[in-house]
Amino acid sequence: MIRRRLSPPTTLRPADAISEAVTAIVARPARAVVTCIGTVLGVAWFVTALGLASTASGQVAAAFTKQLSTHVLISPKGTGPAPAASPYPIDVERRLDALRGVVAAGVFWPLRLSHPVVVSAMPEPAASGAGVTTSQVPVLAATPGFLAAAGVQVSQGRTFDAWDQAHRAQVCVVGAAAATAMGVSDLRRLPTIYIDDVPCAVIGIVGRASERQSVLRSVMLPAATAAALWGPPDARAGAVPMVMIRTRPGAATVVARQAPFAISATRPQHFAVAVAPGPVRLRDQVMNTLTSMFFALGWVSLAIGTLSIASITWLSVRERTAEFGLRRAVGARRRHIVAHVVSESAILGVAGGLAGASLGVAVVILLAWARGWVPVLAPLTVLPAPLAGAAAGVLAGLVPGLIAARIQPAAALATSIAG
Amino acid sequence: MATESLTQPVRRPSAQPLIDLRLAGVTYPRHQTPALRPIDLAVRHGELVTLTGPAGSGKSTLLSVVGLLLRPTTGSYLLNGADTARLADRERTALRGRLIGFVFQRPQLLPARSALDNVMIPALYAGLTRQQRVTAATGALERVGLGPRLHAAVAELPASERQRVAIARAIVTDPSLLLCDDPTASLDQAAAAQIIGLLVSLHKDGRTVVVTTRDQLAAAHSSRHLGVAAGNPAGALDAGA
Repeated sequence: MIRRRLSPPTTLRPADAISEAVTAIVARPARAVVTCIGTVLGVAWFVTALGLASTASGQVAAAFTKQLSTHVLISPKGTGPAPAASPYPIDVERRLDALRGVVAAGVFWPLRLSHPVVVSAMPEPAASGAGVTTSQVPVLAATPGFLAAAGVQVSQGRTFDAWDQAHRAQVCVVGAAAATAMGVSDLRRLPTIYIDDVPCAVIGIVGRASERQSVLRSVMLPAATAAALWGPPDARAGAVPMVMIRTRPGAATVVARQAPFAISATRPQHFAVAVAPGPVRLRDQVMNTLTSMFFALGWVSLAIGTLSIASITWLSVRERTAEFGLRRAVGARRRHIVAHVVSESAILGVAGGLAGASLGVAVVILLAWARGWVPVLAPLTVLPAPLAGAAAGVLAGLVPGLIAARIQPAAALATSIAG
Repeated sequence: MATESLTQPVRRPSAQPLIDLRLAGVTYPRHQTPALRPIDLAVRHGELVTLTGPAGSGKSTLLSVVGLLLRPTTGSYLLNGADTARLADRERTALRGRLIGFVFQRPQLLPARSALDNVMIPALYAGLTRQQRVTAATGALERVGLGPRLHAAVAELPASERQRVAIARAIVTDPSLLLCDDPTASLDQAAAAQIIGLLVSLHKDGRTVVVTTRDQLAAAHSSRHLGVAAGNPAGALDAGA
């Protein structure tokens, strides 16, 4: 057919490009492994880093609690031996203070009276015309040790002390929020509140507390005063007396172990001990820094993996100049050469991603096992790993592929196919 | 042959030459002196043309221009009636792939692959399915007498059989023009004679064959024999200017 001047363009089916790539890879397994190894390590590191980050967060949180908690809370298990008796010895605070690491300790319980606790403030605030202000404010019976353990700081006046406790003084301190609710604002007016019709002089307003922020919404009066007026705490009525201990940083776990024995050497098992979580914000900050650092390292290693595929693919392209020249001579277009190179590097990338993800999972599990941690791996970090490998492979193959596409078909004559 | 025709084979003698080359000169990039001096070359359908000449005379360069591996710096080249100077790379590639089969001085086989795999490479770009490629490559290998060695690793074949694989690769898409660049250079006399015999028989099948060679036997079989002397062809290859 002489009149037909032009032949239709040559083609390359995608499936054929892939099978050619697989054939080329299988033909040079050693080179394939070397090409992959960067991606394997990159993806493995990525998965390991994310896996360790998620595994470690639980461990770090626990470690932080151990290191930075400064508060221990003790409560009796079940109801006490006798309804009217306190579960704690009378000198519980002295016993706990004797423990190394304890800064302050004190007993407290919520007042549960037969009828709702009514707190009235006197003199009534100028704005109120009713003469008496009543409000539902929690009332705590507390020892001075509790105020110290909770880190209470007054904005006005003073806290009650051992003297008030010893003399069963009818005094109280009021949390700032409770004071606002009741209209108590100025101690110079000598305000008095009535708890269940018993007058108590307000001697301090609590502005801040380092622990147990609920004290800011409460009224607190000496435990001895409360016991004298309303009897000892009745656990069956829900007024469970508890002990709050403030420790030096890092001592909370040790104190928590020793405290039940200090309270009662004969029946320490009767007390439940809880270590309050440490400063949450600091812990979260550290965790975020840790996670983002792991992430950054993961990306860096993936980039290094990409570069390693790219450089070895480039070397391999140079080595195969004659082959690509030959392919060009027998009908391959430039884009077919790009397709050959990119599909090879993409397949190596996927293989590297799969191998790397498996390696990463294995490392996370082994490390967690060795340290006695619970391995935590989000599927979202593991499953996209082969995709990340494929993306790295395609990216890595592009530049060498474009270089290979510039090989002239005459290279088939000029150079010899290595082998 | 079991191969399927891709472009209609152009085997009837015709007034219009298959190759109509009026070459003003070829200069390789980054080279000062021309690799080929002005040459006119006309080859008709169905001819077997041999080009002989000393090393460095430009035979390979001439063949590369004829085979669209190199673009001539100046001059005109009509291949099968198409003005190749105006063709984009895509179209030149299509002509190379469908009209021309190459046999190089070195077999240029992929060493790790079987004979069949190597022969299938040009068919890859011809739009054939895998089954069609296998059929075509098997036919081509049988045609060159390597039917029993289809799955042999080419690295283990003797030199003469490697060159036969290369010839099978050149004819797998059933091109009408076969260009051979000194195909017997690395072979002993007996093997060279076999290869020449094979090329002659492929010519007798109806292909146009252009062979550069130092082999007198090849020259004896040719319908036309042209000498290329230091870039200056003699005989029917007239100096251009």
